[in-house]
Order: sequence, then structure tokens, then C-alpha cells
Amino acid sequence: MTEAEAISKCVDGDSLAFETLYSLHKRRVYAICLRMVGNPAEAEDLAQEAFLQLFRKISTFRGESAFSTWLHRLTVNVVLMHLRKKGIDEISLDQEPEEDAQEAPKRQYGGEDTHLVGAVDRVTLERSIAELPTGYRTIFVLHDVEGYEHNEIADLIGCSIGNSKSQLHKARMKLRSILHGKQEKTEKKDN
Amino acid sequence: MICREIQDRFSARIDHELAQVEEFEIRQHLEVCPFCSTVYQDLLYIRKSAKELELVSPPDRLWKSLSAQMKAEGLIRKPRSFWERVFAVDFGSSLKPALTGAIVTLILVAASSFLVTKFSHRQPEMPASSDAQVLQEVRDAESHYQKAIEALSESSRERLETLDPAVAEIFNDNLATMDYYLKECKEAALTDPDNPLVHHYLLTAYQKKVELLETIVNSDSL
Repeated sequence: MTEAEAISKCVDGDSLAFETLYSLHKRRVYAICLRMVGNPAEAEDLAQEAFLQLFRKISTFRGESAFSTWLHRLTVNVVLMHLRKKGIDEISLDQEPEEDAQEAPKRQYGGEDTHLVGAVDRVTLERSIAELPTGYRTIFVLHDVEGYEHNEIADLIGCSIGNSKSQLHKARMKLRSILHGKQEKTEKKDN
Repeated sequence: MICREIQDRFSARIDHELAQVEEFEIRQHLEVCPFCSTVYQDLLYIRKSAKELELVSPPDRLWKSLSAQMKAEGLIRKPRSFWERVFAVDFGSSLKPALTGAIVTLILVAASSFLVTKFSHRQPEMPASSDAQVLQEVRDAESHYQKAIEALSESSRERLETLDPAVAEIFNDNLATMDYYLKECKEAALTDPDNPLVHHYLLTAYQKKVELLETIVNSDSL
């Protein structure tokens, strides 16, 4: 069954059609949820909620955008709604985390080259993303992982474009700091 | 520009958002500052790696839980039959009987068409009538129906233009089927003029066409 056929049959409540759409998109939906909340159990609940909303609303899909784009956006909104309900600010305009002080450039005179390039595997990166503060993680996942532009992020989250850019930079610097920390631990263990 | 100010612009540089002058200044700084160069390369690497992150499969229990919830909400339903799907279309309450009639007629016509084909090649059980009077009566009836059809055709054409296109299409399809069946019956009457069953089916076909045209004329417009 093609995606278009499955979408059409979902309106009739065809269970095979639902399963087809689920199989086609489950990885993307779950990945967004997992990376944005950083917790597998929460991600599972949110992915289920995203699919439920999708299947409830599928008869309203008019085909103006690609189905995957529509589903993607729906999933992001489900996660953001969840974060808001938890009382977590995706972005705080006044937030100046203490970590900022630690992000000042550290001079390592005579130290070895501590490039991350080639030294970070996928699992380490995923774990490090999960360790980011919620606000940083949301921006980083939406922009760098999922490919949203700053104006779209600003729209979704309700912040300014300038704020989105600034938080992204802080997220990347924080992630760099986390990855270096893990790299140092690994090196100490090896030594 | 000090290193902190330079590094604050790294994300903008990675995302190609810098003005030409800023781009030049940062490039110049990176050529002389190995520390900032390291930071920049790290951020570039993080950006690239993030884009390449793979999709993640959820546990199998997710589908089980999801489908159970969907069944509970009635989202998953027994497949509808063709007829249920047809009658689910909202033609308006006044049109559904007409649609029902049209579909029943279609079925009768199809069945009759089969029977005409079958019987025209058989010796009828009823005594073959070569009575000229019977043939004349059939011709008179045929003429009567043809006049009725001619009278109704113009009105039905006008009515069809005011109907929902989906409904109009169904009626037009039925009319086309009727005409085809009539043609078959007329041909059968020519090859087997003394067969009373052929006469019966021919006149029934005319009657059904008249009824269909009346249904169209009397149906509600948009």
C-alpha cells in the first residue's frame, strides 16, 4: 500500500492503513520526541500521542504540504505542549545560566590539540544532547537535528528570532563543553 | 576583536549569516588564533554530526499500545462495503431514494440484459407468437415510450446541470447503461421478432428509462 492509499483508507478506519502509516513514520516521530525530551519513557508516550492526534485529524489533511512535513510539525507541537504543561520554558529571555561563565574560552597553553573532530561517536553525541538543559536542547534539536529555520522556531516556541539564534549558539557551546568532559573522562580511564 | 566576541559569532558563521566584513574579520582571527580555530572546528563538527544523526526505532510495544487506544476510540473500524461507502456520500435526503432507485434499476437492467442474451438463443417455453396484432401492440407501446423519453430528455438534461456533479455523474452513467441495454434489446427484437420475452424485456427497458428520466427531473437541485 502506498502512503497516499494508506492516508485515504485511514479515513475509513482501515487498520492496515494505519499500520502502514505508522511503519513509515514511526522512527522519525520517535526520534524527534526522544531527542527533544531526552527521556525514552516520555518519548514513547509523546510519540503515541502524536500518532493518536495524527489519526484523529487525518481526514483534515488536504495535501497542501507533504504528509511528512505535516506530521513532523504536529509531533513538534505535541512535545512543546508537553514541555509547557510541565512548566518548562523552552526559552527564557532572562535566563543567563551559570554555565555561561564556564563557557568563557579556556586557554590551554602547551596543551594537546583537543579537537572533537573524529572523536565523538553517535551514542556519545546522543547522550550529550540529552544532557543539555531543556531550553538549549529544544533549540538545538529543532535547528541542527531537524532542520527548522530560526523564524520557524521563533513561531513554534514564541520567542524572537534573535533569541533563537543566541540560544542555539549557547546550546552548541554547552554541547561542546559536555563532549569535552566526556572525552577527558575517557582519556583518564584509558590512562 | 577579542576571542569571546569572535566566538559569539561562530554559530552565525556556520549558518552563513555573517556580513562580508564580519566574515573577513573572523577569518583573519582564525588564521592567527589556534584556540578559537579549535573551538570553531568543534562547533562545525557538532553541527555536521547533528545533521547526520540517524532515526531511532521505538519499542514494539508502542504500536500495541497505540492500536489498543485507537480501537478504544473507534478510530479503527470494520471496513465498509462498497454500498456503505456509496450511501455514506451526502446527496441530501431527497436524493437518496432516487439514488437507491437508480442503483436498483441498474441491477435489474444488468440482470435483464443477461436474461435477454440467454433467452434470445433459446426456444421460448411460451408459444411463439407470430400474431401481427401482438407485434403492432409492441410497436405502439415502443412508440409511446419513445415519445415520453423525448419529452423528458430535455428537462432531465437541464436538471442534471443543476445537480451535484457527483450525483449527475451517477445519473449519466445510469442513462448510458440504459441506452446500451435498450440497444441490445432492440437488436434482439430484430433477430428474434416473434419472441415474447424479447418484447417484454424491450418494453421493460423503455419503461425503466422513462422512470429514470422522471427521477432525474424530480430530483432536488443544488
